[in-house]
Amino acid sequence: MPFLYRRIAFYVIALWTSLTLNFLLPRLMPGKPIDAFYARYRLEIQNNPHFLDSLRIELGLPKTPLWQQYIQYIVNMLHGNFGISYSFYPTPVIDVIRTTLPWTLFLAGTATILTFLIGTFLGIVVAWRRGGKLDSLLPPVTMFASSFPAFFLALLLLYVLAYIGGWFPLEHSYSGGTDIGLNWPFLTDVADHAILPVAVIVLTGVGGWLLGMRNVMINTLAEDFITMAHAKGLSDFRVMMMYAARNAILPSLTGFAIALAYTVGGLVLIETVFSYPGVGFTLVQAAQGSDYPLVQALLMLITVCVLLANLFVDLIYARLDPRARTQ
Amino acid sequence: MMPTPGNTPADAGMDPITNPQVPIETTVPQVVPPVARGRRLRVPQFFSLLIHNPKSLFGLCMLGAIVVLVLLAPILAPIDPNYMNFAATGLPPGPHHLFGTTQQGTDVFSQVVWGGRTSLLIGASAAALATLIAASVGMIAAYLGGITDEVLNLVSNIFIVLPALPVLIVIFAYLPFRGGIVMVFLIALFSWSGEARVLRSFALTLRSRDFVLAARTSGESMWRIVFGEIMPNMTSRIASGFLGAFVGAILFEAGLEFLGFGGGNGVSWGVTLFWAQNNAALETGQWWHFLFPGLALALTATSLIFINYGIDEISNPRLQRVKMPKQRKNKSSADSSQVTTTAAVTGGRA
Repeated sequence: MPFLYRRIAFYVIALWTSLTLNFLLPRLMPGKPIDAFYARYRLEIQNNPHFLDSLRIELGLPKTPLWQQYIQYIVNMLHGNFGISYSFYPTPVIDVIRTTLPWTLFLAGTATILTFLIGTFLGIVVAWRRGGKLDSLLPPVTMFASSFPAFFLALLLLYVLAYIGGWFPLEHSYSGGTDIGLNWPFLTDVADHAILPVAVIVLTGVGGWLLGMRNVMINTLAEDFITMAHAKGLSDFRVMMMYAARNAILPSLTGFAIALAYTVGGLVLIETVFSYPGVGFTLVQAAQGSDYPLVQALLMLITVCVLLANLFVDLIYARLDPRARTQ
Repeated sequence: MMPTPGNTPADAGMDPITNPQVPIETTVPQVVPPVARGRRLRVPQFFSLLIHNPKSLFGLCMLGAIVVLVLLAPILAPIDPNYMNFAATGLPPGPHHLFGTTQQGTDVFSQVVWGGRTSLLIGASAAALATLIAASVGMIAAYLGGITDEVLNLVSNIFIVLPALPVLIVIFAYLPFRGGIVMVFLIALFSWSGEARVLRSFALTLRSRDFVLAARTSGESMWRIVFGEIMPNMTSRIASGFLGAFVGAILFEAGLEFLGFGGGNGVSWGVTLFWAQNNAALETGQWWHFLFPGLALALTATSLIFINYGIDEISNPRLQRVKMPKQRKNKSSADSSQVTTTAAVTGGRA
């Protein structure tokens, strides 16, 4: 399967690029991360001159040549050895990630899949009934919704539904008093907290999928095999789903990469608005607090997740389109 | 932050090289057929096309109104947007303060009007720069082909899969200096890639046309062929890419400022939203602090997206609205209606 090998090679290169970028960024910048730490813990360092040395080792910033640091860095990253968080000192970064990642995966996964399903389905229906009532209503409305900055929509919904209405919780991913675990009250509580963030992503994202699907679908509907399917006397639903939509969905799938990048970007903002304890919110906190080991690890994690999701879509794509496999 | 019509998933899929299953013809209708030099689609003509499409006309009017409001800032909003009037803090909208005042006593209306200047300027500059990069990379890659194409394509694909906002946040976290120009460059750096891919696939369809061949045989330089021969034939797609990038850039700017990574000392819609969040405007019920800058942002984005939608319709006749005969209402006469359905469907092929 040369198609998949090429894609995997590409993702390896992309991963390496982002790793290198991640490594070089703090080292190229004038204000070195260790200086920020030095400034923060000046008193301790004055009292104990060996404090800084031990920190250099602990925080993975030893006084060695750049290439050695680079190799060490790559080895550390591949082993999940991300060092120690400055702001949660002395908690290892990996532990911080362990508590934040599941929330983001849950939120991003649910939202992306829902957005894709709803948007694509509406796109199919709207293209099928082109010129109908739905077609003149849905595209402009979803377009307007998708031009809303996601974080602004989040603020609005939070204000109207949670603050004034009181129907939804104001922040976090679960309430303080619940037992964490697989029990009914906790699960419903988590769902309660996730509804608004997910709704924001779905509302702002559906338009893109809808329009993309609609435009390809309209082109597909003009193909001869659709005419043929109609001529065979197949039901409208069958022609719509099994003939037109099946072929029109492929370009939408390749656009998944862009959509996912948008979702992840939007999620950073949305998690911040809802104080949702996911990767995005933590990234913003870490970046504001100059917690560089955490920032580095989170950025790498986000990139890896996006790349994996893309790879996953490629696998599906190769499965769905035989031409991609034989290429 | 979200796919805009200029940047929809479908566009990304229309890449005849990496996705040969997308027939190349699907990308062609938007290309203006090459005609004699004097008869190319000129800017005023393009503009008149835009005005005749209701969607783009609506968008243009809206954008025009916003630009006029922002340009008239000194007349409309004489209060200094940074002036803190401690006698009037947290006031709801009223005759003296049209959009109310903030916790610090600054006038929200002034902030929205003056902030619009920054937001639009940064957005337009970043979008222009991103479009320039995208057009250059896309067209040069398509024209030269071979190893140049491979490398440029790889670079743009890497930029496509990198999550832009998190990367930007991290860069801003490390940057010791912040400000408008840095922001323009960084936003442009992270928003050219998707468009480059689309423009490359367009340029690919033009590359083997006779007029390019003729230009090449007559010994014209690469730059002249790329920017003088190929580019004028894809202006509508470049314009639509610019508008998409414009929306993206404005939202990026607002998002970064909202998170507190822009510098925060200027006035822009994002900065106002940042302060709204910081002052807990939400929890104290001061809805006007975040509603108006947010609406300004949303309306600007809407206007641009509507213009873009109009361009899409103009350049791709298949997307133009066709009145469908109302045949699906009565399912009982499905057999007789089938004929009209297919006729209407295939009618769009012309």
